[in-house]
Amino acid sequence: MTWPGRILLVLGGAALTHLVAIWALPRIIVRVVQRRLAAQVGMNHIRHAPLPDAEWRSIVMPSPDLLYSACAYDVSDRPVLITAELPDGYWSVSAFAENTDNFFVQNDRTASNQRARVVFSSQPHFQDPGGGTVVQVPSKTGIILFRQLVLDRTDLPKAQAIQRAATCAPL
Amino acid sequence: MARKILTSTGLVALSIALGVGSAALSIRWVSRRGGLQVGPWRTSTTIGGSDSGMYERAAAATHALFVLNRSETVYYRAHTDDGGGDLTARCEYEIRGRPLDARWWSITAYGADDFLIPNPEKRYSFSMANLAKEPDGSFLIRASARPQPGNWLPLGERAHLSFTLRLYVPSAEISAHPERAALPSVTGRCP
Repeated sequence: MTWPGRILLVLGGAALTHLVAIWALPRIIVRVVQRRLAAQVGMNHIRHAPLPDAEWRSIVMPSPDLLYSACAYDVSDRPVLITAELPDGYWSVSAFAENTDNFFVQNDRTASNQRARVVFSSQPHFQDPGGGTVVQVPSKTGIILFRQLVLDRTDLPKAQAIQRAATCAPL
Repeated sequence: MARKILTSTGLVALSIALGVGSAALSIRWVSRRGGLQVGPWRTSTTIGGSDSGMYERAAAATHALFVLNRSETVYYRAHTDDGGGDLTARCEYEIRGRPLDARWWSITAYGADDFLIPNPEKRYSFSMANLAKEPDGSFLIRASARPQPGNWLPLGERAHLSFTLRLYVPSAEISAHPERAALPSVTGRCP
């Protein structure tokens, strides 16, 4: 092969590698987080984290004012149900597809009752017998994240009790 | 024959190195320079949403994983001060502004690794709930490695850092036009 041909081949290969890396990176990172969570508590189970500090290394850019809980979901076999008690202050549950897209969020004010109930399903017309919000997921696996604001550190025990009451399980 | 194999292997390795290297540079550029600019702050109208592009998704995955879409939260990030200088713990910064139109907001300092900065005070952020306000209702945060009076945000020993401003449940105006928000100034004083 001539040198111009080799240069074109290198540039073409570099462009292809570049695009594949950019496309694959979010999916790889979400997969790593899913596997880490699954190894700690299993798929479709919730993990409650302490208030982030400088030792925190789970996810980049944590807010030090929020209590986080996370659940790696997989709706391949059955829908996944999350429930939570709602605190007086800011609270939200959000869901992220395998490519990091935030496809669902509900906060303490947009939830219809004092207790949140959301079902994640891959089926388009699934009905929740418990009357909760039903969300059709764009990818069969992903991450569900709970955020709860802690304004005053003296409120932490009460906030952690509410945090631990949240659940994530197959329906 | 051996020379041909060696040359081909070298060309493939060079392709991969160029592809991965340019991808890393692109992600860094998008995370630091992409989106809308308001003073030293930058934000994106599509990050976290299903309408974000592949470069924005890659930047979010590496520097701001699991961000909420802008109807729920608007994130502004500063890597520089008002004068364009890179933020560093060698300098001292004054962050001045007025309360922001959101249900809850906060300003947090992060190290170059995007994690919270270790400091003996274990103080990583100020929010609308714990900021001491000036008599006219505005606020002043002093961010520096050395202790400061008032709202002191410790910067530790980290060389490079960034500030993140979070607006949870922002007003409809800010959610629709985040570039129009009146954001705090970041003034640096370096030795």
